[in-house]
Amino acid sequence: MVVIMHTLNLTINNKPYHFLISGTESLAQVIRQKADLTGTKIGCEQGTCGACTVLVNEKAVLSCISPAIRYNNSSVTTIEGIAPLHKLQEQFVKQGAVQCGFCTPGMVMTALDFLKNNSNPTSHEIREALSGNVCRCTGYQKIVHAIEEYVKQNKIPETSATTFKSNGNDNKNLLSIVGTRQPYLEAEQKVTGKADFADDIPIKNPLYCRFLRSPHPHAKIISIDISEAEKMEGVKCIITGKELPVTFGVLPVSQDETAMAVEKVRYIGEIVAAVAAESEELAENACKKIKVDYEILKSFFTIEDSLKEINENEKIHSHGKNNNNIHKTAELRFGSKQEGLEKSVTHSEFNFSYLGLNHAFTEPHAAVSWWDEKGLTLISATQVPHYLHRALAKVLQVPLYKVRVIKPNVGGGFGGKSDPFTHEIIIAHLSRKTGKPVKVRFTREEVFINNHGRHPTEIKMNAGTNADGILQYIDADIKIDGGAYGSFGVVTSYYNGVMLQAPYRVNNFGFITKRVYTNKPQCGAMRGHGAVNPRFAMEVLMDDLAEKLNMDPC
Amino acid sequence: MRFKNFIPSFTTTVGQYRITSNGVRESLEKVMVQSKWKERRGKLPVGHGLGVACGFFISGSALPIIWNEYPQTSVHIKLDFDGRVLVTSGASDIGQGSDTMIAMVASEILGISMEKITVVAADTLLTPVDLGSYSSRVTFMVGNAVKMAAENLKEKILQAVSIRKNIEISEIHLYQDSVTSNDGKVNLNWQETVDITTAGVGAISVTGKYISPKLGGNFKGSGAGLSPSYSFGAVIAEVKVDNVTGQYEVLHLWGAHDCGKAINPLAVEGQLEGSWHMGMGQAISEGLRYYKGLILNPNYLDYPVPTSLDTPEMSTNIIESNDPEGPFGAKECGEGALLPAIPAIANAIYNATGVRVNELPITADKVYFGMRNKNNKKQ
Repeated sequence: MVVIMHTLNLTINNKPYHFLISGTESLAQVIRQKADLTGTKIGCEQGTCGACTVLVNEKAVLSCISPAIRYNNSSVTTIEGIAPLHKLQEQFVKQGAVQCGFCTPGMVMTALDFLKNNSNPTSHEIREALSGNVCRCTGYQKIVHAIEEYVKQNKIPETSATTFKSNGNDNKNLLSIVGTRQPYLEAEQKVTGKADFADDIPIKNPLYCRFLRSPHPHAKIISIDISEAEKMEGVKCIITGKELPVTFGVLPVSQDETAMAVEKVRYIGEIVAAVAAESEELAENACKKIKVDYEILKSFFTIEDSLKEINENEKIHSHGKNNNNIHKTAELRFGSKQEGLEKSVTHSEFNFSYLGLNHAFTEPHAAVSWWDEKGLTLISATQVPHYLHRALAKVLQVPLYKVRVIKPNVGGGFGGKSDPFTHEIIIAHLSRKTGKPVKVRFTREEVFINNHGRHPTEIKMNAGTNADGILQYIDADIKIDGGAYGSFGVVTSYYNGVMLQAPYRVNNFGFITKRVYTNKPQCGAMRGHGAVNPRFAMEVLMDDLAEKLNMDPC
Repeated sequence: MRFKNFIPSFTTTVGQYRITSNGVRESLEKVMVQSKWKERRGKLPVGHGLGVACGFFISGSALPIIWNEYPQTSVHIKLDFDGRVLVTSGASDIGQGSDTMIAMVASEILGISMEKITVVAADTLLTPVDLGSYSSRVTFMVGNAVKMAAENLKEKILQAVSIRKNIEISEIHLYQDSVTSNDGKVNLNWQETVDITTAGVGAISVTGKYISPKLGGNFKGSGAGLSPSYSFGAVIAEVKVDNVTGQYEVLHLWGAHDCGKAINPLAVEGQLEGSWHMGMGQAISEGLRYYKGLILNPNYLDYPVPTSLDTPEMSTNIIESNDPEGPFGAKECGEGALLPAIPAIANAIYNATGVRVNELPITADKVYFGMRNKNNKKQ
């Protein structure tokens, strides 16, 4: 394949650059990979999150969807060019507008561009201006306040600058630091784009990993032919599921996943093979040359179907004891529902249904790994370095003392980075085989396919009170759709029920949760793990009961 | 009605959860007053509605995922010749501010400024084990472990000074970067203190840990949801619904969350606002859609996370119930706050329209059809 290269002349942060690029390279790629300015983040490559915002000829541009070649002879300003610490950045730090910090550089660039044309904006105008920049941590409030504060400061003459709240001890209060408003230690690093996230860490001569994913929701793998892909120049290693057959999972009771599909695929997007090559593009192209023969199996997409009795060979996982696709049944009963019913004068019952959710953190999963005389080092965007450490040792079959996991700055997790993941195990294995560092970064679509988010749920719940409005019973019948693998699902199954036993006193309480496997990306833990959906149901029932009793719901 | 049903502080639930501090009453009272609930509810203009809900969540799972006897977290602190206090912990800061929390707790206990404290976290070679950032466990468990380690270091420092200066430990204090005695005879700056502490022994290393107390019943499944403490909260939402189209806007959220004690109120507010915002996303717009197992909306346009424009101004209230076992009384604030946001919005929509939408997300079409069905029934 002949790639035509073009010369690109850019001035970035007042420094001239000359690059040789292909016509497909985005401005964000050039800025990050060729100019080594990693303050500009890539969150979606779809122009939908704003993390990649830079100024081109003084105007805000989404660099991830802008072909670099289009901006030949232009002047680019990235977050690194806002030096040393702009007063707006100072306000971001002070007002707590920085949490994970992944959206922050884009947010700052967008705000600076907007403020150039509107130096005295209303709160609504600020919110409008930022509406193309996704932040998943802050709820935007502190970002809006930071900008408002900056605008306010700009109006006041320099001499009357803000007075800082003293952290000093006045002897009345024994606590001198605890209870004070402290910006994060690393907030300044994040707001200036210096903070390294997993994909920002400089690595010498890495290989890049891409995946071949299943196009089928449920199918047997008959054969995989990698011969053509292997011959491609720049392709260093291709691996398939058979090389890593040891199962893993975050819970000891749900070790039901392998690094790549071994005998069959269980959801669209499951990894079937992985390629390490000299560039992402090469790895991606090599994946397209891998041929897989599948035998299509019957798929299960709904809770209803997965509860049904089926033949042994139709099961998504063979390890289940039952002849259905139920993964876990959790049931607890306290007191007596009968007694609760008898004591109640008012009852409420509803059916609730919930779509599944994705955490939608702004930083896509990313990791890099290498081996040396000390063993494996893996740097990954993870919430659970310890469990990842254990899973790596288990699947790669190396002693625990040969594994090191490092968590760099992480761009949000919300439970979505709290499992050990297949891509982390895969690059660890690829770097072992090639002897080279291997990097991986998910596309936004892959983040959604990987999922591990909140379970699609169906709840039938009822509750009753006596004439005084005192709860007499709660009863819940819960079904959750776990997708193709276990993840945290056993815990989720319990949490869906047990978290109903407060904040209201109830003596007659019972629930049953059934978690089923389906041929969809797996679900796991997400902020408020398992407790969110039943809480919604319970609070709606409370509202309904109060209305029936003609009482204030408070 | 909720006030009548609230479980009290320091009690056990039906499933034998040990409830310690509980600020749910204060939380609900706060948002009722702020939203002018009593004055305004039922008297709002057509299409407007107010809804309320409460929440409850664990503050760290009392049981580790992999059952073993290792503590749930272990923290090391090292003091060497340079006067830097190095705190190493496996805690994973994912943007929630745990590194900052660690430095604050160490600084508070030791009585030295934050700039002398360096936190190295989440490197499984260099840092002792923490189980991870999940189940809202980090501030409670790691905070306690840091506190213990810092107390151990403080004791070593004071012991060394006590011996060197021939003075009772009870007569000296480590405070504001110096060791002073009640009689004023001892007055050592930090470097002098460090020199005395390391003399003849070199770098000092101390540890701290957290192990949950034994909790819960003896039945199968009794371990699920056990936590050394629980968080509580309340949200009131105001919405404005277009009675023709079913489209609605969340006008304001008043939220209050009992986090025990806000070690860093700036970070706690950020966690609460982020939680309410994420809850709002599930209430109004977010949901994964599949066609025969193929995901249809794997991007931010088709999976709409609320933008800055969709998100209303929020009134953020921290309720401090001072938990007896949390570090300085602290418990979780990163997850539990999310829970009441969703039903508060749904109940507000019901208040505005008389329509219950029990399918999440509550999109305009569901409200529209709900209103149409209701009107048809009337006719």
